[in-house]
Amino acid sequence: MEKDLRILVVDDSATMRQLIGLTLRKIPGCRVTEAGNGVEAVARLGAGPFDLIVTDIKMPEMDGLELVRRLRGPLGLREIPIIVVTTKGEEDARDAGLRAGASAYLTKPLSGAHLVDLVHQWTAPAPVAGAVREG
Amino acid sequence: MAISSEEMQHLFSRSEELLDIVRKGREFGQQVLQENERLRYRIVQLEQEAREAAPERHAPLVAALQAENERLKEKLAFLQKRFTEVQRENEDFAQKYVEITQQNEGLANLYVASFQLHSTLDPDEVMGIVKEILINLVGSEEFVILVADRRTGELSPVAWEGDPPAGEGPADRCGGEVTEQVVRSGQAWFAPPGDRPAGTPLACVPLLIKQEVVGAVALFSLLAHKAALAPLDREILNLLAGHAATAIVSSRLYADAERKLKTIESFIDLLKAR
Repeated sequence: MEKDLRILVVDDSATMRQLIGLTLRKIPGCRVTEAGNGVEAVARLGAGPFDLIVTDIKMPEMDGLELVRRLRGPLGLREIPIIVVTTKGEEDARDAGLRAGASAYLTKPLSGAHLVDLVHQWTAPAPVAGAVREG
Repeated sequence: MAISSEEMQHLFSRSEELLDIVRKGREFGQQVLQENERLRYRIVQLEQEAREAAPERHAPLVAALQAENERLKEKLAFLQKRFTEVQRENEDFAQKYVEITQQNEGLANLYVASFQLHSTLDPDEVMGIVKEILINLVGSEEFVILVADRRTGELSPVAWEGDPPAGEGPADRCGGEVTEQVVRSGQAWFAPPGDRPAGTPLACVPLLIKQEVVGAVALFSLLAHKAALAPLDREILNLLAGHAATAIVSSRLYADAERKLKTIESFIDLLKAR
């Protein structure tokens, strides 16, 4: 029986949400929930647990960095892996995401194979807690 | 001359020592003879072993072993050849797997782009989706979307991303002659590798409905980590050429129709009120 995998995809772009969802649904047992920004994401997280979060950085209302800070801080979700996706390829954007508490990062245009690899890495049965894996 | 008793005593002692030496010499001689005998026996044994080990005695066994050796050599050569073939097949499969994965990703991108373009009839949303596709799927950092006026046919920028060079507005950055050529020919244009003159786009694709050019998309630069346009990017741009044009025009027509419908309804309501 395949493992149930619940992933929250946070992006203000419907195109990206659909593309990421389409890619992740290829993973057997994967269920994808979508949110349009950080505020919606926090609400979705209150409704049920997730195994992994994929979030964009630039979003209205609450951006990806703020979402990561809140999850790691006040919301106390320190164990859940968070993959940040950004259009910026520069080091500072990547570093800001990782400093805020993200587990890994991906740059747009998105490589589906790379995303699936990262999801497998971070949802493996015994992940290395606290380690940062390059995306 | 008389020999003293002490001298006699000394002579006896010396003769005893001499006799002892002679006795030991005889014992040593016997030991040498015994060793000699043992060695002669060993030589005979070795000669016999050498005769028994003569090649002709083992010729059939050697021949059989040589034949077996040859057979194993052939088998090894066959297995090495097969191993090389399997290794090559494996590499081919790995390469095909990568290609199929890329094609799958490409198809997913094209599907999503096409789906999203036709997911709404709101002109602003359609334009937002075209921009999202150019940023997120193609990886473009600076671009301009031009749409032709329905009456005059003149192209004007309706959406853009990135800041134009100092002293230029978005309207000035339309791709110049390249865009004009693309609009005239209806064919997409991609810059050859190497340096480009200032203001020349990286790529320019027409927005086409059947053979009619209703606009164009000019790309000026890509995201920092993206070196060049990949074949898939060109496919997405070609898809934009058709689908974005239809989506933009139909959403505008729908918006116009809605507005006209509301005007007519208002007019009818006004007439009814009289």
